[in-house]
Amino acid sequence: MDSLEKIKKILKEKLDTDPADVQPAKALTDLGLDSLDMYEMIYEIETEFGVKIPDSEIASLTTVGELIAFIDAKKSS
Amino acid sequence: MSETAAIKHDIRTIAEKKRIVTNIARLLETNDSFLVIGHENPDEDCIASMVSIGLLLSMMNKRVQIDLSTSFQEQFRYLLNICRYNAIKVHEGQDMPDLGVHVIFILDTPKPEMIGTRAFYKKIFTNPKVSKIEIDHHLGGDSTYIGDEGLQLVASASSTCELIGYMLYKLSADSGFMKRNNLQDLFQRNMILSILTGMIADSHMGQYLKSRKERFFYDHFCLMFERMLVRKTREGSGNFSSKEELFKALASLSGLEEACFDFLSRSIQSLDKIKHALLDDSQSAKVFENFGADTLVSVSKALTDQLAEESGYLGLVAYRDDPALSPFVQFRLRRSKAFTGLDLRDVLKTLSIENGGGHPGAVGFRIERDKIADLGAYYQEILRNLEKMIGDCEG
Repeated sequence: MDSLEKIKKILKEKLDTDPADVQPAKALTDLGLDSLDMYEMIYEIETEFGVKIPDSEIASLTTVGELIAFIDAKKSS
Repeated sequence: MSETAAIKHDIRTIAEKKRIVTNIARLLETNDSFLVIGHENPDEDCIASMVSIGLLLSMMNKRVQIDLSTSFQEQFRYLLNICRYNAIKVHEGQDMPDLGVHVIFILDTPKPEMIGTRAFYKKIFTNPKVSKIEIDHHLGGDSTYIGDEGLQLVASASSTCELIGYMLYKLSADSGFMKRNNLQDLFQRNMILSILTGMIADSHMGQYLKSRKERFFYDHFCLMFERMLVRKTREGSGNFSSKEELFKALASLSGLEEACFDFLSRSIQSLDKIKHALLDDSQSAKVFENFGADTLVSVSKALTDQLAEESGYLGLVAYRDDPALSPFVQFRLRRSKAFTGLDLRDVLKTLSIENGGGHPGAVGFRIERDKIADLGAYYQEILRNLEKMIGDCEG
């Protein structure tokens, strides 16, 4: 399963988000995530992907695509 | 209490957690009288969570009572001192709460057997008209749910206070909720200090956290609240490194509120059925300079409540906001419990005030200072209208 599919699965399980809405260009706020939800999602993502997302990076991850790019870069480093 | 003794477990989804907060918000908005209880021999997290919920309800101008049916360590009394100037009634020992309760909050209590032993608890818990909201972080083991289905904010967290912090964050982000309830800022200093106290105390400064998830959210919430506190405190007080520092901050806050209450009390005047206090421009400026906005907001509410009860009819307090922050004069109006004939929302209609709101027993409203030529005369006109409305409804 690629990163986008995993993100879709997490968002579906945790936020009841329709997977069809989860596209790289989509802003995370448009998926109904406020900053506190974002922290909860980051926890789930860190657990699922085995990566660490520093607090300082979270604010800069505004779209699904940016989140995936960050995760993939972390995984390959 | 719940008929099925299900063991408490973490809320499975973020969406479910948000739905529960939405359900709680609806109850907060549609009810007026609240009782807040915790477990027997309450610890700091339990007392701090009761105080935090008390503060929230007080900000919403609800009638709120905290019931401590059993003894607690006197060293925790500093937390309860917050209630004195925030219109929160605290019952201890034999002192019994009023029983006209619409909603009960059960906080930090793992199972029903750990609630105090007051005889009326059983009556309240079996009354289907009384909604039971449960907030707790004790999961597994022999824990069992106490609150009504859909009203159980029971989840993995460092403390019950952390869950309350989560709920307040969500409520703050709901602009409709804030506007409808005439709320500007839920995270006032005493609220933040109270929540931090519960979080830090229950986890022993984070040392006793059981899981990575608890650690993750504990770190996040502590950082978030400490940043808020730094913004709100004129003299730096963030990054508490010990419970003692928190204690000192809370104790000094309590002293500040007492001094502010004394200052406001000097302006109290009485009519036949209204007790009131108006701070003119210079008195308001002094209050802001000496006590700060948060203290004035909470203390003015407590004073309005006290004046309403003392008059038997209405209490009114008005002051000018800090001109650097807001152009408004703020008015707080409260009805005595003994006087139910007047819906205070009708006062807003009669006075053609659009910038304000509340519920039948309490309203707040604000008028731009620049639109009032003579504040004293304008205030007297409001008092005359209130006296007339009291007279009309008494026939």
